[in-house]
Amino acid sequence: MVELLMGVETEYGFSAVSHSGEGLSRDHFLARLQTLAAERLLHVQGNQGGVFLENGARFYIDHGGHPELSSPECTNPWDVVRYVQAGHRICCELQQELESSDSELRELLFLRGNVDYSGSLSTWGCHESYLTQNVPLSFADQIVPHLVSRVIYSGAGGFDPTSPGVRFVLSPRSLHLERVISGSSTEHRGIFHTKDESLCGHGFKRLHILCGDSLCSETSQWLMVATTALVVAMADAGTHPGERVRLVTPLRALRTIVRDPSCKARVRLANGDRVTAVAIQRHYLAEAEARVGEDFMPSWTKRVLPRWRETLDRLEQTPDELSTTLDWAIKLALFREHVQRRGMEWELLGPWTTVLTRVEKGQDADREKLTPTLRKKGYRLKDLDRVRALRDELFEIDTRFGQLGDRGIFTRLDRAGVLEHRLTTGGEIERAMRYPPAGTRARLRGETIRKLGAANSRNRCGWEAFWDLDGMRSLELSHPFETRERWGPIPPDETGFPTVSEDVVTLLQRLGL
Amino acid sequence: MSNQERAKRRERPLAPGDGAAAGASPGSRLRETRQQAQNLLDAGDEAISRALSGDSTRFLQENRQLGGQ
Repeated sequence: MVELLMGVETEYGFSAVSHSGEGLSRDHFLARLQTLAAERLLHVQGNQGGVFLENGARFYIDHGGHPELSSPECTNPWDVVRYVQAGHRICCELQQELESSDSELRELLFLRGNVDYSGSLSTWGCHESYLTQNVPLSFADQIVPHLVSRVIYSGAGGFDPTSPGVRFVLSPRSLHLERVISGSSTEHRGIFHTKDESLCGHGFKRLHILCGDSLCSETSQWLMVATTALVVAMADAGTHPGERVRLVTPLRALRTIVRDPSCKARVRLANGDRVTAVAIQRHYLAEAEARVGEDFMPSWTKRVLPRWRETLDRLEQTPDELSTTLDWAIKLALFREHVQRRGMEWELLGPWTTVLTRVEKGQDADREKLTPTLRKKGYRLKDLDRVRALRDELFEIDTRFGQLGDRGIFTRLDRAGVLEHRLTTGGEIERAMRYPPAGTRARLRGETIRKLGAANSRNRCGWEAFWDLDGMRSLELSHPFETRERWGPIPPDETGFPTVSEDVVTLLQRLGL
Repeated sequence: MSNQERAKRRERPLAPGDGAAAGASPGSRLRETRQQAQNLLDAGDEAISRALSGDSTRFLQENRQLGGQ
């Protein structure tokens, strides 16, 4: 059985709000966050910014001022969930300390969300990495149908951020994808990302997926990573798991699927069939079931398949049972209830969206612009302000759903014991905050940070090496499954490192640190 | 089900096929699903009430995010 390697990067929305509700300087609080992280977390400076932590993870500030936590390299989806949760807990502790130490602050928000609803049309997300033997682009067409259809269980849920109205979708971030395949991560994003940066040697490659959502439910996250790892393993081995479910227009199919919370919409395959996302997922599931025991499948394959099947069965037969488990299904239940409590019918948000779209386009806001359904229900255009207020309330609910800390809606639901999503225990997460996972180079990295991190603040760490600047030696981590501690002299000039005789300051300057 | 019982239940790692539905008759399964849904909605209403700022339009503007990756 082969060992797979995978990890997840979580980008958080971030903002600071004063007691009067005013937004405070994001840069100021990002700087304070970094300082506090350096004080509180045992770490070593990263060679490309940020810090590496004793559990093997990396914490840094990414593009657009988003704090980001990359999990250490894991060999199974259970570990991925543990380390993502550990990352949330680490950020949450920093957030709470910063919040309580600043009297100007009412709230410091860390948001496990994916889109902005203020009109900026911004998105940030959750990136996944999977180790492969082959260049991922060579099997892109085999996994695109999986990435398109998995949103039925891995979608965060929310609203179409491009609509002036209220349109629930399984994955708002998906609507920011503009290409099937793309190499850009900040514009013209693709379903399949071609970034070619292995972050390791020995001929390994890395598939970097950036179309996924940040999730709160451990089950949703586990399903997303576990199923994708299996599909990637099959595609990487050349079994062509997606051949029979290739989509004619993947981007259009994705939009069709995310706009249909009933999960019954059909999309067209290259062979002419029209199938649901569940059917596409069942195809991949059958492929995985047929490959159990093959040497390219991970040892944990059989533990994933029943849960995958059960989720698809429920989506098809009893979707209500998932309203305490999957992110989008939990949100949909809450949104519907909230709309009803505000005296509005959920089903009328569609017609109101039509009206809002007309008004947005500058068309005359006269009575005739109301849809027949709304007129029949006795609504008038003056009710539009109430609808707008409700829309913004729903957007705030979605934004706060994944907020870290006591005010986060998901957190409160979890504490109330009304969700069924847990795969981890509190003790496991506590441990994952300090100790790296077994079986990968992350263990060596984490242990070395624990040994040398506090000793010399000039030491540096990267995904592929650790540099001990007192001993002028480096720890080799280029093999992703390295578990043996092998130190050597810091490599010569061609790798960007000076020889022992050079001054440390010069060394740091040359490293750009 | 009390909050304590729910909390205990959520700490238990889920196994495939585990959960509300396993081994239950269709009737009791339906009742349990409905009860769970109601619990979710009640807890959700409380969580939302505590979370909302009171001026959502302003909240969205003051917490405007820049594009990430």
